Amino acid sequence: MRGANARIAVLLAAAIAAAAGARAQSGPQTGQITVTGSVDRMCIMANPQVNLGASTNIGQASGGTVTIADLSDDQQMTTKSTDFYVTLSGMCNYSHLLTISSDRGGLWREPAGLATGGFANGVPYRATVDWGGSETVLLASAAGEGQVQQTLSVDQPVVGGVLLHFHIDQSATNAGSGVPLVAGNYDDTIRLTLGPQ
Amino acid sequence: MKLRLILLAGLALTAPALADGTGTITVSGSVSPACYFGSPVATTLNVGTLANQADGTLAPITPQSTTIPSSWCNTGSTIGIIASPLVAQSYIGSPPAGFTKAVNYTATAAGWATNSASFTTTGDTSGGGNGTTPGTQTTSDPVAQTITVTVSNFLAPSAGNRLVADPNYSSTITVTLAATH
Repeated sequence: MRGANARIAVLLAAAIAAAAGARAQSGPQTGQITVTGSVDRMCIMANPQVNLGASTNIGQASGGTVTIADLSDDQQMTTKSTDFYVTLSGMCNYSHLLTISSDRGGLWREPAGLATGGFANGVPYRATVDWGGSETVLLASAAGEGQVQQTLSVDQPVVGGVLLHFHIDQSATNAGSGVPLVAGNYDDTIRLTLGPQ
Repeated sequence: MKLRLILLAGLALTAPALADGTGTITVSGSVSPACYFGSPVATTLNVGTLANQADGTLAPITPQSTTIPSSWCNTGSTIGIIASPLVAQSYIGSPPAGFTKAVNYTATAAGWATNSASFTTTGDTSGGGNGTTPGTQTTSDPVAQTITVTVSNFLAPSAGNRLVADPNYSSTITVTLAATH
């Protein structure tokens, strides 16, 4: 009987252990795993595409360079109205800032030099940018040579086209409306930037 | 010969009970159906950068796995798995057109039943609309195995969606073991 008692004790102990089981339960058991990742802030802009079909007074466009066919009117030697449109595919995946700037603040003769009395050596223009449903206008007034810029704050990610409309008014010069332009090459560089606010 | 046997039987009937005796004790017990879910080796799977640096769309993402050792069920059981889409935690509101703040993927739990249990998230660009029915597999035998959980097949809700910037996209996978008997 002593042996039988010992056997009973062992069996009971085993039963208790099985019932207790470390955290085992008769109900469903669950575990969770977290999956994580990240996306960096980024802005992307592709090369400009000039829409020649909608342009006026444009000679040629190659890459990022647009050449105006005739900057001055043949009769009065003053500025001719000019328009062209450029699209740049862009994307920013966060709230960001679009900046448009003109290196020279107008279409200036190269080198600008001194304007002889009765002549102009700078041409003002207007560059309108549409991005993500908002618009900003850069006025490069040619009031003085130097950089000018305009910014557009965008409070959400945007993907699409940065649409630029470049416009020169008929007869516009830095010396007054209709003033003849000094002969020479005129240029400016317009920069579009997407970046942090 | 027959007479002798009868006498022996008579002696036995009259013998005192102190002689050789046997007693029988029946011991019984029971084991309840139970399951034990082990601790995952890794409780977080970091799949890294989600966006393609060239255009902001979803980048190819290498599948990631972790194991859950020492799990068992002492009877037939069902393993279930369900997951939520990876969602940007800091971005408030719905993303603009062309963007997503959610990434879908497939979570599988292998090693328990003959076939893996799997669940593919189906969130929209805000992470809503995900399925609610776990993927399950059932086995009729007790199992003591290591479960391997894998995430793979990452997809944007719509092809070409750009991902909004966020340092913390997060998702939860829930694996369940349930006794079936």
